[in-house]
Amino acid sequence: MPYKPATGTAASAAVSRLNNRDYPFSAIVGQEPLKLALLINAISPGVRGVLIRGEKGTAKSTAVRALARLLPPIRTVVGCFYNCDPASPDHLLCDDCRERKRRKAPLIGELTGVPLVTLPLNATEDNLAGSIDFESTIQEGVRTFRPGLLAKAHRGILYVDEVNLLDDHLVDLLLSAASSGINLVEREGISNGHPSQFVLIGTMNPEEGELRPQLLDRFGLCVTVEAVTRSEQRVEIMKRHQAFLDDPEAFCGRWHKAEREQAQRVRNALQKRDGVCIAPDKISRIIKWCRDANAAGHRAEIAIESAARAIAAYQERSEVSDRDIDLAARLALPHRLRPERAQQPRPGASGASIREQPADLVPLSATVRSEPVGKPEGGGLGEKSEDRPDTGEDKPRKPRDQASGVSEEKPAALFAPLWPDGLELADPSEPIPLNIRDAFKRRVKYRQRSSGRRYAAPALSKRGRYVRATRERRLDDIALDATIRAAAPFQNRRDRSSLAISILPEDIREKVREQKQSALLILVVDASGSIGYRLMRETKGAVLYLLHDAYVKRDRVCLIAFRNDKAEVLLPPTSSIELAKKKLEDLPTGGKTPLCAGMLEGYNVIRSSLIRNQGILPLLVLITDGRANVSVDPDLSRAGKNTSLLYDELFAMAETIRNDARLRSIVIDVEGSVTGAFRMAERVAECMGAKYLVLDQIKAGAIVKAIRSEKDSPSRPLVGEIK
Amino acid sequence: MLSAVTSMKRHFPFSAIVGQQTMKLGLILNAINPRIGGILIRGEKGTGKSIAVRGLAALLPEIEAVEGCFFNCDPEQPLKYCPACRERAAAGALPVIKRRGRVVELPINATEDRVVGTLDLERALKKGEKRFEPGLLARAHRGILYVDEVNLLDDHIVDILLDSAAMGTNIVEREGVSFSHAAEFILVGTMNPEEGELRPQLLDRFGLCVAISGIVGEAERIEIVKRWNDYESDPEGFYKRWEEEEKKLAAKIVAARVAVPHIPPADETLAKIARVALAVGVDGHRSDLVMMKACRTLAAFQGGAEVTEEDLLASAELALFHRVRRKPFDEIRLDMEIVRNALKDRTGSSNS
Repeated sequence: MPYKPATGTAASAAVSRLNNRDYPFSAIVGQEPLKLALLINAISPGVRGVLIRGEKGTAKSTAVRALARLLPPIRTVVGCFYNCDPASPDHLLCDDCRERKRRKAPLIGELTGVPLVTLPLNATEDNLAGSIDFESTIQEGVRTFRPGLLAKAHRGILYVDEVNLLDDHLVDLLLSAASSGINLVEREGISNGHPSQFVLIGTMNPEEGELRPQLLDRFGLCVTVEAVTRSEQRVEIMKRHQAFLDDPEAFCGRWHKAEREQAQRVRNALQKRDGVCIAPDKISRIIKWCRDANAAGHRAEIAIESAARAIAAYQERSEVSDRDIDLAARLALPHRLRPERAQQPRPGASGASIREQPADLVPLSATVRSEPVGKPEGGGLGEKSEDRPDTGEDKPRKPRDQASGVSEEKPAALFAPLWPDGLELADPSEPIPLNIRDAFKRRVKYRQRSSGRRYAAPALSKRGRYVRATRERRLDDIALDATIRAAAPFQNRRDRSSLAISILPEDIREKVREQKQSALLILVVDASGSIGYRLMRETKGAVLYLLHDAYVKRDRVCLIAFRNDKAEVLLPPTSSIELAKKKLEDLPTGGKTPLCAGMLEGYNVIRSSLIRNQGILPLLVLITDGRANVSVDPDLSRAGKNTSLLYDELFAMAETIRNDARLRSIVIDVEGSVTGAFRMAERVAECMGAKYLVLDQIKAGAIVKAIRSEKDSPSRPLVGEIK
Repeated sequence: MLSAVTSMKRHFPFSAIVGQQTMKLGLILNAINPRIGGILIRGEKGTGKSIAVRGLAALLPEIEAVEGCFFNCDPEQPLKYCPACRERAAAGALPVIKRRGRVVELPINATEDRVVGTLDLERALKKGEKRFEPGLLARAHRGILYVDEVNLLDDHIVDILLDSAAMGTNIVEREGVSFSHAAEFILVGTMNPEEGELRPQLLDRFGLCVAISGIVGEAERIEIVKRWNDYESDPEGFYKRWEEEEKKLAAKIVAARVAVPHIPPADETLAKIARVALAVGVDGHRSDLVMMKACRTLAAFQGGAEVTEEDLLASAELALFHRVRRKPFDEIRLDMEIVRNALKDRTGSSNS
């Protein structure tokens, strides 16, 4: 089948070759680790990318875009859409070039800039992987493949801003291409495979949620950037920014020499790279680093090795030094750390420096503010990057107390006491902690959902991000682009009276939309007198913890408190976590325990929310000591303390909740293992079919594990204490 | 095919809005200097947020644009031309017209394809051609993108806004179309914090932020009702009465736009800005950059030759309010005392 790569003016638009009016790389003040990580990737693409984590407004994107200009041009085959290298062996060529070569036609090379391809968050699958080109298919009657972004990014940089917000199925595509180096397309009657090897550069703000562990591991290096804290540097940033805005060309002109030198250094390093040797004892140093960090898999070793070579080449040395390795390790390990073993350095593992380095890194990563490479405190403002690796040795060992003092205000650090296991984001076998949404994910992954209270009936809602098309007819949510693509190959055989395209029912495709899941967290809090001051404080701690998770996941919360003789909805379902916290602070306490009323109220809120919006995922969290002593029925309460009737009512209520398959529940027992405890809460939990937790264990991070295990269990979770 | 962006009815004149000085100032600063990067107005219902934004449209200075260009291309910036303009430019000089910057409203139920643009279906079906049909982001280029109740916007739309606002470019890779065009817009949003907070990431994208509340003075409240009544009963007549005020303000904005580049960013001013940012504790550097632009713009608006202490204070309030580093769900709060102290304190350079 003769596939012809499509031509098109728009096709080249996404390949943003940078013009000479972009902010120059060398003019970026500070952010040395970031610049080093990018340069390493420029010199040694085998490092396979860098993930840039950091707060807002820290020149993340600016640096990436500036990088492409430093890279020496590559030789590509003229007219090839896959940036094939004319010198590469057959198996690395695209079908086209191989065919040409077979026909003994010469592959003419031309020098082109390294492609920097931006993957927008709202890209659809067909545009990333490539698909049929309906325009030329219709007009010429030949099935034509239209290369996607993965083709354009071959031998270049694929840049994803806010990579943690990327849809899962796009991530899957990226991962498969990144791991095999080949993009296989089998869709719409097109079958195509082409090489796709790219350096993946992503930026993310951890406040917006974490990255999937598999994807995290794909990034060779990881740097955390933060704002410069010296005021002279801040002033310099303002000055340069203003100068650039006032006259970009003049500004670039002033930096032209520095840029050219920088580019020349990269070019020299590229040539030198393969000649750099690495002594056997250096390799064992790499392995020790990885072992001490307890990094999963072997990607860490490979990344450190290539990065260390790149650093040596950049510094025009022909041998990798210990310092190169240490620098590389600080860039390659932060996102691969698994703290369990690293927190207890094994005696006699290695030299002193190696042993203390992981200990240096671990708490840094636990506060999500690792500073793997020295900050440019030693140098002046316009410090050239070549000074940097030398300052790296002493700077990272900032006194811990100083660093943690700064990070006190960070969300992750704030909850650190409740989260003593540290962040396990580096462990690919485990999901990110406390992912309530994951608990529901398998059931609803591709279901069409509605997005919030404004859209009541999901069947009518055609909202959400259009990610791909399907043959299945469900909602009349027609994906016209996919329909046209499906119809395109048959046009020369069909009767097209006045239109350009004739579409038959079998061509019709519908949109598959994906929307971030919105869970509804119903917090039913026991505010009765039996809870007491100390327990109340801990209860609030637990609720705060849940609120924090809701904040990251953008879930909605509802707060219900019960005391004396009734339950009260303090906060109807809202996405304003701030409000929930305020309500929680002013929570009135004391009085009797109308547990059943609390459960009923929570259940009612869930029911009415589900009526309004079937797409939500309700999770009922009941926080109590289980010592119910007030009935819902006023007559029963007046009749005196008839405990057995009271409990009958309670268990009937629990049963109702259990029988409603739409919701899940967790009971947190604030009384727990205190001696003489009734363990009433446990019995209620059992009856509700709820996950049962004891508050004491929450402090041990059990809530994380509990919800994580809820995700793994195929059916409703079993009742039992979590160790 | 685009939604009606401007209604036919005469908008309530900006200068007739009673009180709400900070909000008005923030909007005016953006009209003078689009590089400030927009404004977020937080406040209860019925405090004149939307009226002010719509009223601002009439005050925006005129810009030069390529005639007939959907993307509002700037004739001075050949590198940012849309494909159509690039073709036309190659064939000969582009016709230039002057027009006011547009205020494009993004309704919260907007679908993604309307926002970023999509495949031109008519073209595809009738001619079998693949063409890009621009969306609201294209329309908002070099104008104002106004999102009412921005905190209720769908997450995936917010992501798009973040992306394009950050890059100044809208990159479309969907539905079989690959297209990118410049999308530099002033993002103006309003929200009621009680309905939920904005994600910090998006919060940071707004150059300035003001929190407003209803006016409590009785005389002023009466004046509001009176003016609104007058406006409702006879919009044109009401406008006539305010026309002069409006023209004066518009002229002042144009004059300020010319004057901004002549206000020097004195070293001392910059040092003060850095000191304030460090003392208050903010994420990133965007606050510094915004403060620098805001105080110079403010000085220009007030006809001064250089940035005064008051200009700095006012711009700090506008630029720092939403950027103060805070614990996850603390309320947003800016302690102006810290700002004042940092401005005074000439010895200590930082507190970190």
